[in-house]
Amino acid sequence: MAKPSRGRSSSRTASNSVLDKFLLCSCRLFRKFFQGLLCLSALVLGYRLSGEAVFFLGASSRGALFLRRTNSNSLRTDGIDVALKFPYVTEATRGKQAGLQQSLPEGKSTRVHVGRHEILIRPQPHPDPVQIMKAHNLLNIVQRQQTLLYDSDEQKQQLLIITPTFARTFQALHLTCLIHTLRNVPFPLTWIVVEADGLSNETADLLAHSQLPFHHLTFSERMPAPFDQRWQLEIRLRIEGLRFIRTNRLDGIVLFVDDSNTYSLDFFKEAQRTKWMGGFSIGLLPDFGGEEGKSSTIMPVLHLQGPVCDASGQISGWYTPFKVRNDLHISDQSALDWAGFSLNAKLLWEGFESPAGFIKWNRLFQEKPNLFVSPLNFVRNYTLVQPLGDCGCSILLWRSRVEARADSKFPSRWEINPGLEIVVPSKRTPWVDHHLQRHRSTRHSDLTDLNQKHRGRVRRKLKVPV
Amino acid sequence: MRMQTPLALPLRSMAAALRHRPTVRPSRLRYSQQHSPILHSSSGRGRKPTASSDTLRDDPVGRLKVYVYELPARYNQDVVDKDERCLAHMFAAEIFLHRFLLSSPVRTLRPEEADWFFTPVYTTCDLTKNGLPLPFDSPRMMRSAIEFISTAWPYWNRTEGADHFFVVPHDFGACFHYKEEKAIQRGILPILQRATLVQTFGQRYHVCMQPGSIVIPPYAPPARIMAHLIPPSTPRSIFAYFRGLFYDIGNDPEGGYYARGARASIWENFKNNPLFDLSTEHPDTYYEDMQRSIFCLCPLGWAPWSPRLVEAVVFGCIPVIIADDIVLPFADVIPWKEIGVFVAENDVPKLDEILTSLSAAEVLEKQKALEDVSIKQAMLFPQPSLPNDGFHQILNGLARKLPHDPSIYLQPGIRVLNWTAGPPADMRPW
Repeated sequence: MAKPSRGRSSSRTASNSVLDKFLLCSCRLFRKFFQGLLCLSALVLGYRLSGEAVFFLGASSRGALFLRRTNSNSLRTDGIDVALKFPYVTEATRGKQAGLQQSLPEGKSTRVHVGRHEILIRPQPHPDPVQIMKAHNLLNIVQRQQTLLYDSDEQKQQLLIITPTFARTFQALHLTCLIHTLRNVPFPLTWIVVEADGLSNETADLLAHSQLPFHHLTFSERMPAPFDQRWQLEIRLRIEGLRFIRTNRLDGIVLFVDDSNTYSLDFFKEAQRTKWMGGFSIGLLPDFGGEEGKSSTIMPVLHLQGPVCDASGQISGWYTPFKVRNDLHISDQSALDWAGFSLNAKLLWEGFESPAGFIKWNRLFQEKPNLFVSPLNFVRNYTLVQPLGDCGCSILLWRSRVEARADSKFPSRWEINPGLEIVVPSKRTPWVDHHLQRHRSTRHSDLTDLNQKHRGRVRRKLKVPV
Repeated sequence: MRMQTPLALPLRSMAAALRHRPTVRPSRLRYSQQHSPILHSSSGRGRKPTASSDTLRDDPVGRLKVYVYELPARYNQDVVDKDERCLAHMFAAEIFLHRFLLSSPVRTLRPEEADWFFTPVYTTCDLTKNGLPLPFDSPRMMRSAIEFISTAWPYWNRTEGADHFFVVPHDFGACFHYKEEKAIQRGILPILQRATLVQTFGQRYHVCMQPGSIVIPPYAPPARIMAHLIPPSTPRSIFAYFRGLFYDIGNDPEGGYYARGARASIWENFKNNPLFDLSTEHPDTYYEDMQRSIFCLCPLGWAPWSPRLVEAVVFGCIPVIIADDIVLPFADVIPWKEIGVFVAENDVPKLDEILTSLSAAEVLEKQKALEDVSIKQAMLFPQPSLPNDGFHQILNGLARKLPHDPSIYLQPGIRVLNWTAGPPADMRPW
């Protein structure tokens, strides 16, 4: 408890408890006289003498008399790392102080006494890294327990992840990242991988080692090479995934996760809040390189695409860059990336009464089978889309289309067949291999020869040819 | 009782939860008004109530009868009217206990059948400009009140106060001084030596701790606490937290007196330690920060008790109690060893070692024990009163001291107490 100085409290000159008790035994006059003496001595000496000075007249160790607090620099510790005792509070004086306290019941020991205590400082007040590690472990465990106890009240629906993919050089790169992301998602999920161009060993291998529950669907058509023609097939692959969900009446929230996208784990947590259809903001990372070598299109202002809310929190439209590369079409709603939408799987079910404003699957395919290009086709009015991720203000996923050169080759399933011994050195470095030429003659000499050569001379660092 | 005040809603839902009725939660309220930490206890999930938690839930109605003396207004109401701040500071329990008893079922209007007698005298209401109570008139006020009741009613003289209880919530209880040396010098007011004292101060082997006293927590305004709640799923990311003074420059510039040097030791040893969030500031997010901490340091100050303990327990932060020989509130019913960590003042330099050497299982056990709703309820004094709150625990404590030993009843004319003992300044009438 803090106590600011009170108006009525007495001055500090003779308020020491020990001295008070000592002087109480004497009469009041002597006390007044002694106070006057201290006052005079203060005037003469130029500094205040506290009442404790009397008590120390007989103190043995005078050297440390004026030390108020221990410092690691000033005192030797002699191997004691804790609790340096002040010289004037020794065992002898402690007993005296205890005796001076009046009305202490006999037979009861007290470890605490009133008076000035030492401030215990250890010589190495630096934080111990081992303890910090232990503390962080403790924090982790406590937080995990908290999520177990308190987050279980929140919704934990199953997530149905639809990923269109096909075998290519960078597929292993993308899918490995995606697999690790999905493994960290704390919700139950089912991964529906729709592969173009039939079933390939690469995809099957990656999925088998993913430790995730997956369904591997195949599509017979081949993925076209140019980027600007791929989007149509991707859409059809996704619809294939939706059809799978519909046929098997899977329950949960449908997310369209492309293999080359990057996701934050908050995305999956936020997707749980989807009621019927949700919209997210995507960060677009356009392909700056590419086949042409330089981008001929105008750079968009903000590399984002997402729902925009008005002041009351209602969705009022989408923001999308006005001109991007050809792999993202701008015409009407097909410009919106599927990755930024989440659906309630019940909307796909046969015989399910969709809420007002949502179009049924059958209707969709009867009326406009070829115009199903965006999840927005499921709704009559875009205002029914629920803006997620802090009303579209936080970006929880990034879209990038990074692929290798069209003619790049990669070993099947990224396995180097044992037996390949020839390693062809690359000769396309711009630096001239001077030292390579020079050391080629001495390269097959023994190390012992070298030692003999350099015996008696100053050892130099041997340059190893690169 | 129909409740009209806006802050009654969380308290009402607190009460409803206790009676196992589903609570009504209108969605337009803020989180802190919808849920209270008292509601969201997971202790009920498959956790058998221990013996101590059963006694926390005892109902004092029917187990004792309390007679409330009617003193002139100058002892109680006038004092409050003069300074309204008395109703919000940490010594306000004496005022609220009086108000609680006036309308409580344990109150009896017939003193012949009463087990305990309560004297409503507010001795801790003489506040300075800064809001701190001055105890210099309190002994005289108390003497005057006791003189009044001993002349107007025969029940004081019957036992010389052995079946009376008084609330003395000041720093050192009935010693009536804020400085420990002076308080020890004065000792407990001689005329209160036979009475039961309900006080916040508790320290073993101390002069101002009378055996048989009931130690209560300091008053913390429940409405303010309820207004600063955060969702319990917010991860606890601060390891150890403390806000308060380390050196009291005004009263102890050199250090070593204040807190027996313990607070200064904490600062010097751990100011650079990233695990310890230490500062003297008064942040607005003080309550929220406590809910985000695992350990809350509760070192002694000028006196061993502090409202920090109440706040730590209510917010689910494990209290680290650094005060030698302290007696904690309601120690006979609240399992403090299970809830808190006790560190000796000499061990303060090793505080980080002690805290990190606790195993995760122990920490989780303590947090689980802290989630017990009854403990949090026992620490607070809500108005109007709710079941198992601090008022009920005081009455339970008094009920446990019944029946009175027949030897307390004195022969008429016998006097045990020395009415003239004590400093002569106390003898002046108030």
